[in-house]
Formats: sequence, structure tokens, C-alpha cells
Amino acid sequence: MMRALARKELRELLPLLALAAIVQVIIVCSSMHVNLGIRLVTQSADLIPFVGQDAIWQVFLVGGLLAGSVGLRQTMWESNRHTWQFLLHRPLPREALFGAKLAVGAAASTLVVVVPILWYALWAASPGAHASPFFWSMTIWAWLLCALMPLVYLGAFLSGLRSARWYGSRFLPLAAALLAMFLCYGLSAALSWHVAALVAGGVVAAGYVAVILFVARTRDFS
Amino acid sequence: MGEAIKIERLTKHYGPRRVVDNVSLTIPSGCVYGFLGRNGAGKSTLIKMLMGMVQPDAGRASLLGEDICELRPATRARIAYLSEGHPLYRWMTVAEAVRFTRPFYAVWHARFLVSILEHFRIAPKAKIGRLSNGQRAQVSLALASDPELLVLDDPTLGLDTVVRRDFLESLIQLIQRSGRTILFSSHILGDVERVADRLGVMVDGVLRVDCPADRFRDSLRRVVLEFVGAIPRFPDSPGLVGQRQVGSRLELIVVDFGDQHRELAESLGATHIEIVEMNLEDAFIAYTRGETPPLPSLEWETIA
Repeated sequence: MMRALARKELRELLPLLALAAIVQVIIVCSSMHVNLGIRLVTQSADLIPFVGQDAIWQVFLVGGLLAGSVGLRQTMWESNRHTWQFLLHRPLPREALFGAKLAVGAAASTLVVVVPILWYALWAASPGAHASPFFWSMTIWAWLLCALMPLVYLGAFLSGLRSARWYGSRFLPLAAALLAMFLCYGLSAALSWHVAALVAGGVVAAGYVAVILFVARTRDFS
Repeated sequence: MGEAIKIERLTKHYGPRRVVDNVSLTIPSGCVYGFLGRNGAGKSTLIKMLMGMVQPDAGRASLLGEDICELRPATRARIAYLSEGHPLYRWMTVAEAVRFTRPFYAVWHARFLVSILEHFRIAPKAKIGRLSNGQRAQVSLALASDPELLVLDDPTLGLDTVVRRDFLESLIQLIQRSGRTILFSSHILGDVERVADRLGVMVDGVLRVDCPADRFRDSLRRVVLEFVGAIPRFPDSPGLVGQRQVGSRLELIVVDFGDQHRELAESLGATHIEIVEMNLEDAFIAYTRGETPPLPSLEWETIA
């Protein structure tokens, strides 16, 4: 049954994931100076990968937008279509239903940034790909951002799930998640406390999951 | 015979408004229970509380002997819930909806599903988004997997007369076998009259009636009192549901009209007392409408 749930979630997210994947391919190809005929970013040929004004950061912009959209899609869509009542009446603990949703959503929105970054890093690590030095330690900031990306997703999921007004506190959880993400990233960038940043991000994510499961148990799906 | 549904003092507020007010009700196994009420009377909220979709503010309830707050998945699998509008995933085909639903049930009644789909001539390849309201209702019923308890929230809402009747008859034929219980809400009196053994009427969140359908119809009377001159107000008395002034007459809606009511009417100076039997629809309207102010006398104006 978890497989049925996961398949349903993936099928519903497919258009969003496909669109994000296409944009990511274009960004990565542009960063690698591969001409696809479409250019979303301009990268100077003498730029060092993962350093300075590298256009690859736009992968995270797209990833963040996708993570937010996935979180809202998985919650608001069910509300707008009144399908919560069908879904929640399936004979499965509510924690498992929401757990499946969260697992698929978090994995999808993380993979959409991890795969392009890995692709770009492997290209950068290939001898002769560009005329500049490359060390894997230069990619730490990118991996850290990948690891923190689920916070955006969880913030959006909670924003869509909890009862709130659009012109009120609807997006408060998303705003708080973005703030937490930047603080964690700041820890890493300013003080090089990479592990501390990861742990802090994990604690915030665990807190979000706990709140999401609490809201799922207690809110009215009317 | 056991209790399929037991509700004790269930209450729900939305803001300051009490939408379900201290409702207590017991529905025995094998009963077809029709829940009547006007829009906003609290029927859907009560059903959603039973299904765990809405959290009650007070009171408790049990389904098939299990508290609704601790309903195990195994018990939920024995209960089917068709919510208002029959929401299903519109991107799925009927076959995909079956494939999605099937893994959740340890016991899956494939013959039940096939017989309903064949009966309603619904193709497995049909896209749910392209089905009519009635067909979606039929697919929802097919996905119910032969439940012990079937709860339907206004299942015939938006269906045309033919589809509605067909749906209800199939519902009874297919589900009401060997002690299965049905609870359904409706505001269509004919549906309830055709199907229900017992009915409940909710008015402003309060369960005002819980009795066999025949008893409800038989006990309610419209009493028309004729007066000469000023029309007095009928005093509050047991069984008086409502009163309204119509021209020189006072119309009362009374449960179990008896000697006490007759004596009161005569003491007010009524010149004529007429007692009118009511069909279920009239009884329901009378019961749920409440007191209405008299109509203003219409004066025709000449438009220049």
C-alpha cells in the first residue's frame, strides 16, 4: 500500500518534476558551456566551478521553487479537490499516509538539486574540462544547500496543510523554514561549522515533521 | 443485534456557532438510517466527525464497537465512506483507482466491484475526470469493497432523477445484505422515504427526531384554527412545533395532537378546528422551517 501511495504521489508530481528537470539540464549545460540552443544563464569561460559568481547557484533557485511548489501541491491540491476525505479514509494510520507523502515529496525535491550538482561536479572534476583547479572541498557549500533543501519543502507542506488565511499567517511556516535554512547555511559559510549546520538543519526538519504529523492528526478536513 | 453506530453528546463549534449540539444517537446493525436536515443543519459535520475528518469538541462516538478516536485500520477497512460530491482523483482511470485502492484492503471483494461496474456499465478505462456526477458516485460505491457499515454524505446530490433512483435501488440491493448497516444523509425526502427504516431530523445542529419513518409521518399533524376577529397566539404546549398566521386562520404543527391541544384551541375561541394529515415532505418542511412571520398583505400599485 505504501507503494501505491508513493506511485500516486509521484504521478501527481510528475509535471512539476519534469519541468524542473528540463530547466536544471539547461542551467547545468549552460554552466558547462554546452550549447543547447537555449541559454538561461551566461557563464564566463574563465570562471572556476563552484567558486565566486558561478551560475550553478541557479540550480538551487529552481530547486527551492520546486520544493515549495511540491509542498503546496501535495496539500492544497488535495484540499481544493476535496480528496482528503477519500485519501484519509483508506485503512492506514494517518501518520503512515502523511509519512509517505513527505518521503516522496522530500526525496523528489532533493533529487532535483542533487543530480544536477553531482553532474556539474563530476564535469568540473574531469581533467581538461576547464582551465582551473578543482578540489571536492570546493563543493561543500553546494552539498550543504542540497541537504537543507527539504526545509523549504517541509515549510511549504506545513503552509499548505495548516488552517490559516491567505492574507494572514498562511506562509509563516515557509518563511520560518527559509530563515532557518539561511541561518544554517550562514553557520557553515561564516564559521565553517559544516557539521553543526547539518545537525541544526536536521533538528529543524525533525521539528517540522513532528508539527506536520500533529496538524494532520488534529485539523479538520471538512 | 449489536450497535453499528453509537453517538453520545457529540458537539462541534465553528467559531461561536454550535453546528452540532449534544447529539446522541444509536443505530443498530442492519438498519438503514436516513439523516434529514436543511442545508447547514449539521448533518455533514456530524458524519465527518464519525469518520474522523472533523474533531469533536465534546462527546464521544463509536463505529462497529470502536471509539472513533482510536479506530484501527482493520476496523476502518470494514467501513465505507462516500463523502459529498464523491471526490476521487480525476486524473486516474477507473482501473487505476481500483489499483490504487486495492492494496489497502486485506480482503478485497473483486466480484462486488466488477458486479457494480458492470451493472452501471462503467468501463475500467474511463477517466474519472470525464465521468458524470452519477457515474463518480457509482465508482465510489464500487470501491467501497462490500463494507459492513456504509456511510454516505448526501450521495444523490446533483444526480438527475433517474440516476438517483437507480443509484439508491442498487445501493439497497447490493449493500443491504445480511445485516449491513447504512447511514446516509439527504435533503431529498423521497430518497429517505424510499430507503430508510428509521430517520433522524437535524435542525440547527440539534437532533430533533429519531424514530421509525412511519412514526414521524403519522405523529405530525397540521391543525388549522379559524377565528373571527383578532387571532391569538397559541400558548406553548408539549408537542407544539410551530405556528403561523395565514389570513384569518392560525396554522399549528403539532406532534401527537390530543385533547389537551383541542381544549386549548377551544379556549382561545376558535370557531373551527381542522386536522390535516401530512406526507413526509410536508412533515419535514413543517418540522424544520420553524416559526415564520406572517406574509405581508400585498397591495397593488398602479404604475403610471
